[in-house]
Parts: sequence; structure tokens; C-alpha cells
Amino acid sequence: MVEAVVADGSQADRMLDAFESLSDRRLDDSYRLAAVILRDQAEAQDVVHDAVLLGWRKFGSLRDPARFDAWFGRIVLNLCRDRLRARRRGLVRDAALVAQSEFNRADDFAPVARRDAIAAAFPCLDPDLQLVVALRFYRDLQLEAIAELLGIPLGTVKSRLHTGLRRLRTELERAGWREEGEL
Amino acid sequence: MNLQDGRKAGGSGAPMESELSNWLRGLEPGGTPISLRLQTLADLRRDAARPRPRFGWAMSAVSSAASLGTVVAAAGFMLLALVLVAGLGHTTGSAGGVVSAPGAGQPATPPMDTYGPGMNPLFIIGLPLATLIAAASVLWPALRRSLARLAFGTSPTTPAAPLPLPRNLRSISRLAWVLGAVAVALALWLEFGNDFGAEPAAYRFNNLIAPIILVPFWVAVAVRYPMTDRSARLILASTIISITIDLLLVSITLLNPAAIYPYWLDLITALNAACVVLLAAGVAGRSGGVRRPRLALAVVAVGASFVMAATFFFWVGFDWRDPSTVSYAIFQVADAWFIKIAWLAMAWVGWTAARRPGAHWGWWLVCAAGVLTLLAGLPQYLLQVYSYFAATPIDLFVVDTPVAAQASDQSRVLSWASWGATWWSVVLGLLAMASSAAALLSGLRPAPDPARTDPPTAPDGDETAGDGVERQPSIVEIEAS
Repeated sequence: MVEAVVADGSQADRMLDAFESLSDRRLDDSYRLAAVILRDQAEAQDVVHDAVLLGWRKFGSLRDPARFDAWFGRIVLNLCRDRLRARRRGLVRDAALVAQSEFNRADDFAPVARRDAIAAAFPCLDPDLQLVVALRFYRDLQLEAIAELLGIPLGTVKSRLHTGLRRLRTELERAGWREEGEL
Repeated sequence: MNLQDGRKAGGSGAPMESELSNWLRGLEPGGTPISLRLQTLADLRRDAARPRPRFGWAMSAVSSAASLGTVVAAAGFMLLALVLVAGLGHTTGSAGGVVSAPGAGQPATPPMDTYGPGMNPLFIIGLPLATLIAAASVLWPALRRSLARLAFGTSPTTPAAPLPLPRNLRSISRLAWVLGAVAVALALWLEFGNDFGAEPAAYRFNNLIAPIILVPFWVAVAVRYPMTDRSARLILASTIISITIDLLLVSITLLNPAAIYPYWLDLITALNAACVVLLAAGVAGRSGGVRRPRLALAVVAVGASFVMAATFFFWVGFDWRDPSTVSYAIFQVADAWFIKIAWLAMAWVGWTAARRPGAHWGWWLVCAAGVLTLLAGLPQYLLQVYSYFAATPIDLFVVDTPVAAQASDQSRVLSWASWGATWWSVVLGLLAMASSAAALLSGLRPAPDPARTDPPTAPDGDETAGDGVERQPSIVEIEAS
């Protein structure tokens, strides 16, 4: 159906209608994904806005209209990666700022402390690693789907996921994190 | 135990993974602000309403053309610099990196005095200038955008409709189609519109026409594999080197078709080894990991490839007492050996990946390319060894020379055999190159490995992912819907 819409829209206005329809359908999902990856809703709005305009300008390079969703998703992820890279220049490694005693307390605040620690450690990962980890643990995408979405081989996804988790664990352990069995 | 997807065995996962998942989901916003939708779609309409540039279709070609121009100009500039600096006094043998055997009855090589684009002032000024412009436009996107704005106006382009072609053909860019047409036209013109004199047809076909025809394939490959991961970067680096070498050979042949390749060109063409090694590494990385061959099999294969590569030492009249000849031979043998090992590895990767269930058909082409390349040099190797032990001087590469015609009957037979071996090598080499190019053009996808068990998934009807959280549809499912 998508292919028919685009194929029929040889005129610019028809193509615009088709693109608007396709991108509007992906707006909510893209915004949620960008907000999770960037951890900033304002930046996520900027990314979605830029992705729509950039997608329109590059719409002619879309070889297979049936793959619009994956194509547009990749644009969003690339823009997110650019922003993460720019953000890393001013990154402060503050994972260790969370008090070590907070991790292993037994009251209701323990989950909050652990999430704070993750929130402090997660930005220490490279942007590429953050993307893969977020897609895996937020979207629950299979590794093959992540590879297809990012346009990278499956082996690269595996290695990035492995490296990301290892580094995240290292950062947390440096801050005093211990797994349940080690308490 | 960590599984391949980063989750731990046991269903719900370890605390860190579980907390990570919960934390990420906690970041999800409640809903999309209506202002975002309104502002974005309004800006989209405003952007689309801008006047359409006259040559908007060429905007996307500017970057690719600049990249290709850099390669062409860099190859020409390198040629010019080497011509001017190196002197061109020393010549050795013929194409393919084969040194002339001292006292082997080889025809005298023509002098290189007439070899030199340095005679043309326009060539001297034009190439560095073109190199500087193209390199600057590639290195600085701002400059490229400025040039594009100057050339095509300030408005963004209106996207063009997809080409009315089948899906596989649509994956090849417009620029590649144009380059392919130009290359084929140039090859036909060179074939039928010029007099190459006594230049053997095999040389002309292998060193001039084939690289020209393959250039657009490599360009398409470079376009098809963006620099997003390591294997793609390796493939891209390999294609760039390949394009540079091919264009260098074409440039030299065009500048002086009758010239014999100078000594330093053998060193440059040795980059082919790096090119093939990079390609093999990239293809192997793209396969998603294949099992290693048995040690005994690997030793036999590597040993056999060394024996074939060591053909150089069997050249009749090879002077072991000359240190320069020996060092040059060692260099050539190592070069040929690395290339053969790389193609062996590609054949193994292709064979292993193609036999997996559901594997992409392009892996068969990878396997075929490796096997064809290894078979291509076999007859020449056997002839070379035979001529060494029979002490019959033959010219394995130039066969239409007066030397061959005036030789004895046995030499004449061997010359015809070498004629066949040369064409065998040329044709199989071309088939291998075309096969590898077609494999890369097809978009090699990692082959699924049944030996590696996938992580446990939720049973049918259960829409949770094991930790009680609703499973999100994969991108494949999204597309299918």
C-alpha cells in the first residue's frame, strides 16, 4: 500500500502527501525512542523535527518505499547519535557520586538508588553502545532487528551489546554496585 | 551465563539488566506534544513549498562525484609525482609484476623516454588543482554545501521518484548507472577506435578494459556499504584502493599504450595484496562469524598457496646470486602469497556461510570468486614449473612476439600452451572479480548460524518478554504490518 502511494505520487505534492502520511505515522514512536535515548524531551522534539525535514529532503534516495519505517528510524537514530556525541564533550563521569551505601540498603529507596546509579553510569558509554543497549532493553528488539535498524552486521550488534553491558557493569561496580548474590 | 542478546539465563535477567530495562522505560514520555506535530508538519509544508531548483537531481551526485574525483585526481597526481621524481629509467619485464629473466631470450624492452605526462603543462597544472578542489570539497562539508548552493540554488531539493526498475536494480544509484555507461563507451572506443599495435589482446583486455568496466561496480559497492561499522569500512577501503590501482593502470596505458610498466609500478600494484586482505577481512566480518577450518586443512591450504606463489623462483635463468633480483623475487612471492591466502579465506568464508540454512545467495558468489581466483593461476604455475625443469625458455605472458614465432617446435607448442594459460588466467580472473563485485552489490547479509542458539523467547500467545513487560514488536513485524 505504501509503495502504491509513493509510486502513484509522481508529482511533488502527491509525494509530499505520501511522505507526510508516512512520517506522521512514525512521529509518536520516534519521539518516544528519541526521548529515551537522549533522556531529554526537548532534544527529542528537536530530533524528530529535524528527522522529518531531513527525511523529506532525502526522500528521493529511499530505494524501497516499503522500508520507509526502517529508513526513517535510522535517520532518527543517526540524529540521536550525533547529539549524544556532541553531548559527550562536556560529560562528567559522576557514577561514583552515588553513595556506595545507597546501593545495598534494604528499604524502598534501594531501587531508586540503583536507578540513579544507572542514570549516572549510562552516559559514560559511547553513543554507539548507548543506541544498541537502549534498543535492546527499551524496545526489546531482537539482535537481528537491531542490526537491520542500525544497518550494521549482527556480529557488530553483539559485540556492542556485550561491550556496553560490560562497561556499564564496570562503572557500577566502581561505584560500589554488587549483584544480589554477592551481598 | 550470558547469552548472545546480553540477557542472562533464567528469564527475568540479572539485577543490573532488569534495572536498566526499568530505568529506560521510565524515561519514556507520556505522549507526544501536540505542538511538536503541528510545528513539524507546518515546517515540512513550508520547506516543501520553496521553489524547486533546476538541477536538484544533481545535488546528491555532487558528493559522490567529488569523492570519485578525488580518487581519480589522487591517482593521477600520484602518477605525475612518481613520473617526475622517480625518473622512469628502470624498467622490468611486463605486466603482472614479472621480472625479465637475465639471458632468457626476452625481447628488449622499449625505452621509457617517451613516457611522460610531464611534457604537457596543462597536465602538470590541472591535476594538482583538481586534486586540491576535490579533496577540499570532500574534507569540508561546508565548502561542498557552498559549492552546491552556488551551482544549484539555495533551495533544498524536491526528491525524485524512484527509478521504474525492479527492486534489485533500483539499489544501484543513478550515478553508478551513468558511470557504467561512460565506462563501457570508453572501453568500446578504446577497443575499436585505437591501434594498439603489437600489444597482446590479453594484456589489453586485462589491464585496460576490465578495470574500466569494473570501476562502476566498485563505485556502486562503495555507495552500497556506508561507513557505519568495521566490516563496511574495510570493504570500502578495499574498494577505494582497488579503484585507485585500476585507474592508475588505465591512466598509464592511455598515456602510452606501448610502454612497458616501470619498476615502481610493481610496488604500487603490490597494494593489491592489501586490497584483497582488507576485502577478505571485511567479508569475513560481514558473514557474522564462521567456524574455523581444521588445523591440518589450513596448513595444507596455506602451504599449497605458498608453493604456487613461489613460482617466481622457477623462472628460467633466475639469478640467485644477484641480491636485488632475489629481494625483488621475495617481495613478489610474499605479495602473491598474501593474495592467495586472502582469496582462500574468502572461499572458505563463502562456502561456510552459504551452506547455512537461509543464507543469502551472495555467499555462493563469494565462494566462487575465491575458487576461481585460485584456479586462475594454476595452468601458469604448472607451465612455469615444467619449463624450469625442462630448461626450455618460454615467455609465459607475451606470446605474439617474433621470439615465439622463431622458436623451436617445442617452444612453439609451449608458447601456444602459455597463450591458453594466459587467457585462462585472464578470463577466470575477470569472472572472479565480477563474481566478488556482484556479491558485494547484492548486499551481503550475515548468515544465520544454527549452531548458535537464539535466546529463549516468550511462548506463543504470551506477549510478555519474560520479565512481565509487554513485548515490543520488532522492526520486521512493524514492516509486515
